[in-house]
Amino acid sequence: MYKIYTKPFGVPKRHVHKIILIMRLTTILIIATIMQVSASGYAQRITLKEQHASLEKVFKEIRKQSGYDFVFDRKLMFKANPIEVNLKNATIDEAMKISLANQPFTYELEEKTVIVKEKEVGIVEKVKRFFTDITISGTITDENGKPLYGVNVAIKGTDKKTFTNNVGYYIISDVPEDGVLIFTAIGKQKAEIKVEGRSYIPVSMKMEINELNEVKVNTGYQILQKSSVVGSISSVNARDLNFNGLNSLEQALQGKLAGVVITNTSGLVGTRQKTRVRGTSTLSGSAEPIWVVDGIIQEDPLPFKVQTLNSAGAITPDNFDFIRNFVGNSINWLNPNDIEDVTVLKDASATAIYGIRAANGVIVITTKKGKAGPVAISYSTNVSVTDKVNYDKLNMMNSQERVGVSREIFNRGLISSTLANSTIGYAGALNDYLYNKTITADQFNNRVNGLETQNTDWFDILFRKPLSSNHNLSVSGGSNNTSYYTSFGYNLSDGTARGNDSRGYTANVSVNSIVSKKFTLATRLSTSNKTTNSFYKVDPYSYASTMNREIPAYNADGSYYMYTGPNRYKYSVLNELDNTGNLNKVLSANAAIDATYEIIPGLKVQTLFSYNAVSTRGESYATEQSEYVAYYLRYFEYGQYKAVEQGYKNSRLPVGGEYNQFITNSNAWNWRNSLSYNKVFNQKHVMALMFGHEMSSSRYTGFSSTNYGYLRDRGKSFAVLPNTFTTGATINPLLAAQQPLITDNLTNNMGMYLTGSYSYDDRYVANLSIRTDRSNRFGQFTNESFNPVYAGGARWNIANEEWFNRTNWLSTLSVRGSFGYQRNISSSVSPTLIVKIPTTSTDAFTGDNLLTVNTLPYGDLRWEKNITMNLGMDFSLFQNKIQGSLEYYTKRGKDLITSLNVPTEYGITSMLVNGGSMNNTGYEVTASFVPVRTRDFVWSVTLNTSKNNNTITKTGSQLATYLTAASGGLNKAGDPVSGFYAFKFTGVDAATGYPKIDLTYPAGSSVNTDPTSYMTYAGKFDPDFTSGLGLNFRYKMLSLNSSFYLQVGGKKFLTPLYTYVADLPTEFQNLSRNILDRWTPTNTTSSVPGLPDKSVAYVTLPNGNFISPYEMYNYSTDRVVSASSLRCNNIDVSYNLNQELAKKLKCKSINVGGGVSNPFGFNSKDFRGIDPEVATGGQPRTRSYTLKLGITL
Amino acid sequence: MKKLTIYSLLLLTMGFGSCKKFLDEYSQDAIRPGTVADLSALMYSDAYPYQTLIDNFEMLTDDIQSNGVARGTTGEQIPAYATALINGSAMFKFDPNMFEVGSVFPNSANAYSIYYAKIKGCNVVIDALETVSGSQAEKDAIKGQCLFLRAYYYLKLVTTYAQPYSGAGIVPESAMGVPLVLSSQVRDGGLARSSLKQTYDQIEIDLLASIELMKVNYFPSSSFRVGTTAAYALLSRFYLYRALNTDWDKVISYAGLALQQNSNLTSLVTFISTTGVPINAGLFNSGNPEIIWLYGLNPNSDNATYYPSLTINTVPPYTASNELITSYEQGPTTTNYGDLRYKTYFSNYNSVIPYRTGKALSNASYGTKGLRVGEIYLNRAEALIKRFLITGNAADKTQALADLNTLRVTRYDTRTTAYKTVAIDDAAALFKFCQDERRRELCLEDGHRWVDIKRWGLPVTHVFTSTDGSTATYTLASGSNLYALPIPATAIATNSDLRQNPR
Repeated sequence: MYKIYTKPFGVPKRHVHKIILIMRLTTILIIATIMQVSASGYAQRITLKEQHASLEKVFKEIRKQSGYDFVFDRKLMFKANPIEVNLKNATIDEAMKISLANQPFTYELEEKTVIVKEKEVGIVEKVKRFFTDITISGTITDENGKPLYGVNVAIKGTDKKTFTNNVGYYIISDVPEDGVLIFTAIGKQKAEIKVEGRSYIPVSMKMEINELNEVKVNTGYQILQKSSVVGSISSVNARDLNFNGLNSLEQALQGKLAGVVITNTSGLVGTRQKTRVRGTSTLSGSAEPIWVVDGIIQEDPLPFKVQTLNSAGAITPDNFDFIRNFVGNSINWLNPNDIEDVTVLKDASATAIYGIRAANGVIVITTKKGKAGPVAISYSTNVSVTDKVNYDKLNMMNSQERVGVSREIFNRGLISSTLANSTIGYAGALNDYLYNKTITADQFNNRVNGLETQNTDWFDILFRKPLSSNHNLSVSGGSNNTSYYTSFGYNLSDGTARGNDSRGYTANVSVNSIVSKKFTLATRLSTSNKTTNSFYKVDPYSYASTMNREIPAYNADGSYYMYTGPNRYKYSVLNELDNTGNLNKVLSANAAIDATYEIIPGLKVQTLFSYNAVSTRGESYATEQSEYVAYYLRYFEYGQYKAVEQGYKNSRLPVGGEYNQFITNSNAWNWRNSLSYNKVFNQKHVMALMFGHEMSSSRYTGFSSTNYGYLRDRGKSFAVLPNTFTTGATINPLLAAQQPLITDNLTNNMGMYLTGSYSYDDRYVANLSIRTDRSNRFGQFTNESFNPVYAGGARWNIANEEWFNRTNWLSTLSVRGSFGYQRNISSSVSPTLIVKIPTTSTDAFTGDNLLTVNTLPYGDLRWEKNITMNLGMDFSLFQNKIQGSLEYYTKRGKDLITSLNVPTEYGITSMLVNGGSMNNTGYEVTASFVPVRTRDFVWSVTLNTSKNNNTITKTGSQLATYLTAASGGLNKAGDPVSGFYAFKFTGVDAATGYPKIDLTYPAGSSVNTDPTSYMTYAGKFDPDFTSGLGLNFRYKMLSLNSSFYLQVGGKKFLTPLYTYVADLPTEFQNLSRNILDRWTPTNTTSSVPGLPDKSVAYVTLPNGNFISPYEMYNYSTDRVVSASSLRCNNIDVSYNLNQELAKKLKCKSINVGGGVSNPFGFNSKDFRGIDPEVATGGQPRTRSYTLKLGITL
Repeated sequence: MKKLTIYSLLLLTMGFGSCKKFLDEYSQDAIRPGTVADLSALMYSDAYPYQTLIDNFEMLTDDIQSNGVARGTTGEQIPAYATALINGSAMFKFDPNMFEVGSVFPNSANAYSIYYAKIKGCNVVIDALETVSGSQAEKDAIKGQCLFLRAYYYLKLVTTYAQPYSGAGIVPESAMGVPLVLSSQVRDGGLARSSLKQTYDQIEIDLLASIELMKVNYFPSSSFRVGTTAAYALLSRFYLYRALNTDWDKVISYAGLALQQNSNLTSLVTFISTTGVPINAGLFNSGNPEIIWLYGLNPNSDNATYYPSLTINTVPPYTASNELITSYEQGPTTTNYGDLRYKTYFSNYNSVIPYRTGKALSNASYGTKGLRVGEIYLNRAEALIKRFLITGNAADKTQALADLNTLRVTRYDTRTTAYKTVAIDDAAALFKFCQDERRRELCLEDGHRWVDIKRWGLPVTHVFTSTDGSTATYTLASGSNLYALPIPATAIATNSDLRQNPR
């Protein structure tokens, strides 16, 4: 007797239903029951041929032929796949193996019984199955069979979901038999698979089709496929940015993006960098690019301030500019560790959608988002040490050499026009010996010996080797529908100058959720807090680098050595640093919500709202013990007079110091709504249209004040100022000077934009964007009609043509071109007179109201026009081993508004006028290639290079003096923008030691209006060519990354050898060792001019002006040096611990590494080791060493 | 339903966006001037020399002497004094590079840019008058004041940076004046200097026009504002400075017109306190009827550059010269101080020795510059003597003496002793007396002495005492090139067509 048993035995019938309900398919039970089956039969060979048969049917046939009984649960058969069998004289074993080859079953032969059961899994699984309903498991692999980790597996229509583990395996329970499983993973095609009762569902996921060889580019408004980009865009992934020992994103971006030039202005911690995208295109407004984070334009924490130029054309900073430098830019709040990638939009077609604000380029930052998957916690930290600045890099004199200069001054009887030379150093000793007669000849000699050996190391005293550290913790994860990313960062940066440090905290939460099939929502909330300590009225670097080393810093008893300074008050830089300070705090909060709703497939409406609040508070102070207060405010030495004495009564500020406070609150919101439609027709025509509307408003409210009488050490209280001072009872002017200043600034902008693109068969792409903006800026053309910015472009993906022969070496090729037109009007200029209410708004004597001129009318005001063209080519060679792109651009600016110095007789020093025309042309090359790629060793190279030619084609009226020509401010048709001129140095006059300058000029030159006729063209300040190079190596788990930055073609004037051009160097100055070989009456053949003094004979310039020959020497060909340099920005090593070790430490991965920033550089020798970027007097950046650790749990 | 919500949301957005209010111009303090009131406010601030620190060339005159740097009790140099000594040394030593880049050049000595900034204010107001609403009379009053002020500044400029009009060997048609800017429009290129004659002609045109505009229905509300009296007074000064032979009649007639409107002189006897001590009660008091027009800044701020506040018992680096202070006739007793100007026109150090100007009202925050009746008498007296020298008409001499005595009688201590009338017969001696009287009356005030030295062709000798006490003598010869002060290098640098004065 044989039977197919499909029901458990020994179970009362009335319970069957319930048991089935609770414990369907419980193998254990089945095994328990089959033991009671007694079956009979005999061995028989099986021959069977079936196609698309059910497994049950096959079993029946086998039973018939072999006589074996079958035991299985019929429910199992729901999971069976249809089979094909072709058996000839097969044994029962063979027959079963073949039949079950593709089935989720195994079998056992027990005497004459075949027991069919589910494939065995681990004990856990068995237990699980025991207690749950239908449970499905499987392994998910990619197309190559490699298991996929973190794939989201969800049951359609429920909340239930799970993820694959690190071998790609998943288990999901409570699945309805007729349910559907959804498999999703980043970069993979979504798969929906019907369960159909199966308990084992392996899936092979395909790569998402448009991700195939395709990079997406986020422009802030749209996410484009790289193959449909017509403009000029470059991106860098955060992985490739190095933040070791750096504290701003800009520094890390240096040399990473072609066409983006980042310049450091100072080595101080917390100062902002200068960022330029494809050169400068406006001369009157802010030339900084706009920064965009997750689609939202970031507003500066402080309102833009038009710099005021002094008569020599130099920028005159005000009291608060110093504070401003430490506030940072609009992305100050962003934790660099949260950045996913950075994209720069360079040409008109890429930026047109941003309107006129984007004339300086756009830098788009995308932040990290949570990824669906189990919670991932990662922690990273780095610690860095920075080198001190020292004298080796400066080539300054030691004490003995400096005394030698003073000795020469005395021996030669050179005369100073000021009194500053008689208190300290050699001159001071001489004064006491010869004039005051307070010391004897022996005492004098002893004192001079002391001076000669003093050699105070100011850098050692004022600088340190600072330790900086960063800690960053991020947690991310989420389900299929909602994912999150949070991060917390802490940064502590100490500057090399003692007293300069900054620390900051950042926190960030972002949540992305798919609310429904049609509705998605993304939110982000970030806050940051940063505190920077710096200096007020003292600059340790300039002090250390210029101060005479004969002066000691401390007395023998350890107290500060106070000497009579240039202002004739007691001075000690250490005392000054103790008694002055500058503190800035920036607190910002940033929130954004982005909602997208798909109305019908392809038609989406998106609304994006963001709010940003920044509160900036800066304070600076000087206490009454500082020399600054003594000299500028009190007029007597600290403690010199008692309250009863006349000297005390003569002071405007007998007690207390100065306290400046500066508070700015910025509140900005931005609201953008857009409607986009994407449609593909006939598989070939792809059309995308977007129409949007944007409103933004930013309001700055500020309050700044200066208060006198500050008593820091008396509980930060304030002393009351005397109402009058002197015997004549003069009214104290400081009372009026304490007037506070309120800033209230509101900028509203509204814009509408339309962009469309069409591509045919992924071969031909065309794009057009148009945008118009209106704002509430005062003095703008408010009656101006519709005046859009527009741009368009086209692209041809040649490699997608059928005829294109993908030869061995050329894999892909595409060309693109774009064109754009922009008009802009400067808000600082007006065609009509604008007056403003002055800070003192009424006449103190008559009570009349007062108004003062704000901007003079400029009758000829025209719009600035910019026409931009960009041509690009993208290619890849040798099966994508080398990828690269070439770009060429021209930018023609017409009627650009420039600030020109005007004759003093107009009553103003400079005015904004439509200055002239300018052409920018340039090319950029970006390439990456992998010379070696083996399993264990990879060597990759990334390179970007740009060259910019900038020519002025027409100039407006301008100030033509030797100083404007030498400072690059004289724009001459045919010369580049920063081109400058130098006097022709012909040597040193053997008789006088004065520099000789050739002032001859070609006959017929108009010397009065053209100083360049008697000067010579010396080059330009801006580099022609900048290049960034990255070399990366990986050997197994060890990788080494390095980046280099090259700039070629710039020239600079060296800092002057003699800062006083008609006077002696003072005893407060140290001098360059370059003048050791100077002209002296005994060394008349020297090529270095001798010491200038008061008697220096002025020379008449061809235009009739007087000038000191030393002034000309400072701007002469002898002082011009090449600013070309090659610098290694950083070298880093990192090592990933092997996974087993990491697992033992209960981590997913552990990464350790270290690096050096600024390890070396090659500059023009004349710079003597100083970074040319800061050679004009700023503090150089020094080498720093970093150790880092990253852990993922 | 959902769609409807979306669409209405969209519409709402658009509605919001097109809201006109959102795009209304906004500024904290900027205004487009639209009424004469706006322009008056603009004029008070930008055309009037309201609290402006200008004109500090006393250091060039013989009214000042150098004393070096005094030392404190412990022998240290007094810092505020050292700074002041440096500030004044280039001018005091007649250094031709005094306003060059790199020389010590206090802000208040850059009169060139200060005056031109004010001229811009005048031009802006004059140009904008046509476009604002208001009555013609109001507009005329504003224009009259602006023309007056512009003329005043140009007269200051041309007397500072150009040679005297009637100086020896000067041809006004070809000699260099100053660049004339008569409109607020900024033009391309540089600005060349007009001739001396063109400059003076323009000043004359502006002043005459200002009288026509102001005389009908404008009267200044206080001594801080100018009116016709100020214009007549300035014209008398202008013609005196121009000093053509035909100008003496004009000086006399405009001085007469001014005196017709205001001939008040302050009797200095009123400055003697009830206890019989003469005090600096402030000649430049806005309530003093002798003052026609008053401007400038707190004299303490004004003076700090060269004459710092006193440190007890020490001599400041620069003080009123011995030559000046001995020119005052001092009385024998405390009941007769003689010439009261010695006691009331100066601040004293050690409570005795005259030091810097004391013409300010103590506690005043306004200045000691402008026009006053005393000067008009002196202008007229000088012109009368000049005319007498040409025509020999004795009536002129009598009138000149009368004017001088009218002034002097108010300056002397007449409490117990009657004023002794001056009577001089010799024309040259009378002219010398008039010059001395002018120096005594207008000392350390509004740059008078420097212009007088130039137009009278006087030499100046200075003995400079440096910090170490050593002395050196510097001389400004009569008719020196430096009579036309060098234009500051900063101005030369910005104006390619501006020619420097020969040095």
